[in-house]
Amino acid sequence: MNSPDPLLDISNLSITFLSDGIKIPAVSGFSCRITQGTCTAIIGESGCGKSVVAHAILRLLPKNSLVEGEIIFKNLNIYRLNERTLQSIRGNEIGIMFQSPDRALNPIYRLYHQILGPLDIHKVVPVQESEAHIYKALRKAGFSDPEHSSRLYPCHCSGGMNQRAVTAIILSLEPDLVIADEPTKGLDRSRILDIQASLKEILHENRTLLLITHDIRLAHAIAHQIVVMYAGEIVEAGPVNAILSSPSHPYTRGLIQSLPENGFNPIPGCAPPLTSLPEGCRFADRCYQATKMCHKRPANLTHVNGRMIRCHRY
Amino acid sequence: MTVVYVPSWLKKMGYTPTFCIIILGIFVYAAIFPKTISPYSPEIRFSPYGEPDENHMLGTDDMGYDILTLLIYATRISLIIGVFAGILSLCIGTSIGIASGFHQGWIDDLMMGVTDITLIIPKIPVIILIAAYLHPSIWILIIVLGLFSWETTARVVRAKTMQIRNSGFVLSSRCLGFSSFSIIIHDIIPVIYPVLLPKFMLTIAGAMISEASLSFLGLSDPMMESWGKMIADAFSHGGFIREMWWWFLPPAICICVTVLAITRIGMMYESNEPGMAFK
Repeated sequence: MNSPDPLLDISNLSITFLSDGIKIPAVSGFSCRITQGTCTAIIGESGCGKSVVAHAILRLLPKNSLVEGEIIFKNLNIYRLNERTLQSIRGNEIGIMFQSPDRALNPIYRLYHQILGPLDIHKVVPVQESEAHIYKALRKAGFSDPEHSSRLYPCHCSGGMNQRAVTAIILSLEPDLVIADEPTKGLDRSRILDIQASLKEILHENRTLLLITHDIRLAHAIAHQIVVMYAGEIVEAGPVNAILSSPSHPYTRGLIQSLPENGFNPIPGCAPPLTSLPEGCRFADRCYQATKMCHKRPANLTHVNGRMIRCHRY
Repeated sequence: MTVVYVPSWLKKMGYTPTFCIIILGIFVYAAIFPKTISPYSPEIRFSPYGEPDENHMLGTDDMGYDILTLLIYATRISLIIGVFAGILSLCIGTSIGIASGFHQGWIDDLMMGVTDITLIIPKIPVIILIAAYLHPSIWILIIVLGLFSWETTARVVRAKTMQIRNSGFVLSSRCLGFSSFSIIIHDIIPVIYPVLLPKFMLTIAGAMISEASLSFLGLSDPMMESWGKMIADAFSHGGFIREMWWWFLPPAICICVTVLAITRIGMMYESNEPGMAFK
């Protein structure tokens, strides 16, 4: 995890939303280093702040949000850049794939035009080569007949095809870091396999992937590192195989036990509302190993056997 | 029974809109090439107050000009005023609507405040005041008509822009590194275009009617012959007293027919299924 020169280095990121005078701490003390060519998965249940982190990396958060900490991408602090530099980074160096591809494509343009637009503004390839480049990207994303597919409108395509079209846009721009925000939300298994294949294609080209998901199986299949979040905090982080085969934090253990193949035992209770967080460990109320201390003092993130754990037991 | 062959494009467009496009086409042709269809040159004078006969289909006016020729040459001015006032109002309305819908915040508050104020101004009295105060000319008329008819366009465009700016493809365009300006040009305007077109048509129609009223009140350019000015001349130069209906009725009919045709074409774009809407 501590490689000398990470592509993306997030340190101590805290995001607070201000809404009608109420402070909502969506993410607190998030740190993560991502090295070139690896895949890091952020997992956790809905509302734990996974997507907020993704949006914060591209500075897409609404105006009522307060961001503290640092996000360093290729030695540039994202929050110190001006809008113009940021525009040249968005898409060109950091690409993001949203949860619903059907809505991410403009309904009035053909796929060809939608891929050409971003290519044009970032000048990835010379104009005369852009057509060949688009067909190449479409073929990589799994379209067998790119000449035909590029002339389709998003409404002509199935959800899976649109997902692949979005992947083609990202692939054609050749960004160094790809953020996939819940690419498999609400899909069936066969579609997930399609998406898994296109994400693997991104990794094959030595690009870096930040996968945000609550699909543990998908994370297991492609990620190298995993970050487990709970109520805006990292509870456990480390190599994917180690964490998923022997989870240390009670929450990670609960997550894995709630998978259908592991007996479908959901964790009792639900996550605390972000507006009234408990005094001690945020997971204490649902933890079967909680002690008095857990309810009194918040736990710190500690290094144990090559992973990070936020629990009083370690 | 005879079977009438109806081409598919005609069926698809609907009969009324096609008819309206043909009518508008004739008027546009008359505006661009009046020489080719007018019987005389507008400078030639005949005996005044002539009744319709085989030489002068619509008679002659008080100065002895052929009324049909005047009618054909007046098409140009009436359409120019309508179209340019429409373009001006469309430009103002679209820019204000997009700016306030896209940026929101204080820009939105300010622009919508201006729109609300413009909306409550009684249009015709103010236009009369301004036209009377300034030296009447066709460009002043266009600017005044354009400046007082953009609020509804701005409102509609703002609502539509607010809806589109929160859609997924605008967010993904931002993530792909597009600037706000190129998002407006490439993502927002093409999507709201179907709303803009009928608004544009309706504004043209409104501007033509306002122009006719202003001309009738004697507030148009005295050197420019428009349909409204023809009616005004007929009124002030004895056409009404002598019951010369061929003098004041044709320009009035022309105004009505053009406005109806333009409105109808605008309405065709407003509905998604023209065949359904015009049966």
